[in-house]
Amino acid sequence: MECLTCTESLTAFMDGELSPAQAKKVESHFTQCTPCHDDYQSLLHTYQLVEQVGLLELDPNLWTRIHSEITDLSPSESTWLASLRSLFGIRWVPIAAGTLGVVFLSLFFVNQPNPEIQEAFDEYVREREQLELPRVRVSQNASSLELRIAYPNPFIVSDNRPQENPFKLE
Amino acid sequence: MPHLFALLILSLGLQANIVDSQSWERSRSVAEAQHEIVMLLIKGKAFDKVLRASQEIFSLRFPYNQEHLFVTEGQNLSGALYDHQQYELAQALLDQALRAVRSNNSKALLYKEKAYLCTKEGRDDEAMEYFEKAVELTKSGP
Repeated sequence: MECLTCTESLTAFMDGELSPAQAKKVESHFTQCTPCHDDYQSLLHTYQLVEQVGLLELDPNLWTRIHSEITDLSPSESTWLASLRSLFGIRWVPIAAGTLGVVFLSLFFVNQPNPEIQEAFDEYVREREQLELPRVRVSQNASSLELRIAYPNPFIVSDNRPQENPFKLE
Repeated sequence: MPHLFALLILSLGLQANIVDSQSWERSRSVAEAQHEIVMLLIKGKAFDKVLRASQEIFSLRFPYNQEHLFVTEGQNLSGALYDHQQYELAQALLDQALRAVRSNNSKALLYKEKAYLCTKEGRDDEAMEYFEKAVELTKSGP
């Protein structure tokens, strides 16, 4: 995960809005990245400060007042739609829609992977999976010996070390 | 006199060869020990220390004809990290290996490994991008 993604997700993480997998990713990133960890600590501190502030008692008529002031300021929907129509005219709508359609279609075709490369990749994945078949996927509690067998040290010229405990009774 | 020069040049070449082979043996031995350290860190789940330790391997100077060992090491260590569900670390380790190798063939193999790990995680678009890079590198020669 990149720092930018982590920073953007921090607030959602603090609010518990992320899925468990996303939350785990964010957490694992900021435990390893000092600047992001600092951001997290700073945000945590802010949350703690906010929690200390008590709830304010608001005037029950406050929202009515705010709403009426907003309504007075914003132009009505019919006004701006009418001005848009007068600016472009109704005959431009099909042309604009057609142009947008062409742009979307060309983007779709440009982003399509080359079928030859796609086929080669599928073939490669199949071969890799077959190669992995003899190698048993190692569990997270695997012993050193299991790890050594699954992921051998490529730098060893000749491995004369015993693979099993020589003192173990049959 | 020409015989003496020829003998001198021959002995200098021989000496350089011996120094090279000693230096390579030292690098190989350090890499061998460091691999064990990285595997112990993975086994002990000290994942925050893995990249620092693996960098010790990939910063070693390996001769061109031994570069395939970096590729194998990248594949092995990233596989071990993947098995421990450390997907981001596995990719970061392959990036370290990519910076260590010089040949296009080695880079292509490592990009293919990155693509393979991405596809196992369901990140197919990213996988395709890495595989395309690998194909380009293979086309542009060793």
